[in-house]
Amino acid sequence: MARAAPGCAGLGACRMKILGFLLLVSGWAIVLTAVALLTENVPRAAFVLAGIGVEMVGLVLLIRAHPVGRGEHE
Amino acid sequence: MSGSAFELSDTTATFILLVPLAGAGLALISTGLGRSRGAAQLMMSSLCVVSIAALAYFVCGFAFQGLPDQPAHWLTIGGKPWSWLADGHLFLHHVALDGSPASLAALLGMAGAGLAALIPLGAGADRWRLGACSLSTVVLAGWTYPLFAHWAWGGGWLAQLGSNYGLGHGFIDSGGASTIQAMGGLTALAIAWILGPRQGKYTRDGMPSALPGHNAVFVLFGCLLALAGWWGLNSSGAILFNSAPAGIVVRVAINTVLSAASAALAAALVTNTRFGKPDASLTANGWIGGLAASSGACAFVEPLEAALIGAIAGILVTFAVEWVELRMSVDDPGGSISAHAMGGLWGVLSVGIFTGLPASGRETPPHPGQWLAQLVGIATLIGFVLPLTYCLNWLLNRAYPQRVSPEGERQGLDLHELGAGAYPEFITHSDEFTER
Repeated sequence: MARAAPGCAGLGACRMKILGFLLLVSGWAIVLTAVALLTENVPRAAFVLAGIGVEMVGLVLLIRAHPVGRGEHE
Repeated sequence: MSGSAFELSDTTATFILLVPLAGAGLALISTGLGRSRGAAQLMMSSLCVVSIAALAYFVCGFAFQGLPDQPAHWLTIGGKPWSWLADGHLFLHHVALDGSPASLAALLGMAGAGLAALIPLGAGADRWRLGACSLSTVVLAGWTYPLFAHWAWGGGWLAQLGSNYGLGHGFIDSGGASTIQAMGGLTALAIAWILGPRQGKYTRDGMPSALPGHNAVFVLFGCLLALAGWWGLNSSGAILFNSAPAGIVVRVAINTVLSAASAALAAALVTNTRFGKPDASLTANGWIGGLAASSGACAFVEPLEAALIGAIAGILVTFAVEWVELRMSVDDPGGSISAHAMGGLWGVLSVGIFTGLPASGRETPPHPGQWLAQLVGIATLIGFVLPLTYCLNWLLNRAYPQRVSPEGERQGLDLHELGAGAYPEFITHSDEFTER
């Protein structure tokens, strides 16, 4: 049976935390890719904003994955 | 050395020597907003953190941060060079400590690393072990801070966004809104998540309880002390990293104080409107948020714009404190996350917004891509620095638990970790209250 990793309040919270971090890094990767590959200002700005949007979704997941408790000691 | 060059280095060195006052101010604010039974431990932690940050930065921090036009590690992406890490010498070898730009950057970097490392202490107050915050500081001052400082200040890929991709003048951060404030604030968020809230902060149904700070005088005096430090930080940063002339210090000082003042007044006004009385701790957080925001654009904007940047920071910080506590369920006794992360990120963005206005008085014309360069910097802080600092501190926590034991927290960190309290005369004796 699957168990939560140390530092996670439950399996769902643990998955949500990992997904949140993946989204943060993915959003950053979108921003970097837009800067490196796109030359026109409008699409570049649109992709940079989209990357930041992905980061915001990741941040929301991270916030929801940290319920009130005793932190990583639980 | 020519007369003007000497004068410039002399001015810069003088201002850098003011920066520790900002650290003293932040230490007092964190201590005052914490409980009395952890006050000595928090001040002791502040001293240890500043000491360890100085040593870690001396050992490897400056070697990783470097300066523009100095050896660095490069990646070539799409035919463009991306400098991602400086290739300097450990232990400040080959840095002439004679007032040269490299030596001044090393001195400012050392002070800045200490300041960034002090910020998470406010978020971890009353439950962060002394040994754990010392280890966390090694990671911050020896790796994460120099890495991002290289990208922003050391000629790294963020600073090159202008020359490589035509994004304005590249990422601009005059006095450390990103490298110091946002870096410290995001580390504070990671630490607060890892530690969890203080005992009794949240009820079983998740409602926060008020655990007020123990000394408002410390907090408000710390704010005034921090102003002097910020004058030094913003002025020396503008001269060293933006090639501004020595005379810029007047503009920087005026903009810094206007930003802090309007932020504090905005926070006082908001709390007075909402709660019927101005709140001292939120006003102090607003002041620090205004200072943090001023660090981004203080050298480039007009005083009126600086006041506006500060007022927005004050309002943002006031609502962010409530949001962090109520919505995020994060216990941040010192308001570090709201004041430094929110204030710093807003300061970074303000460079892109306000330096594009006609009133900004820049010698070089504003570039439409500047705001995009600033957004890339913000995306890097949230999408790279936050995960990195969280993961590193999470690993530290696995090896050496960061939170004090429940018994130690109940007893108070002063007695538990230091064996003596900050205020021994607070012990009440029953005979003092006996009717005579």
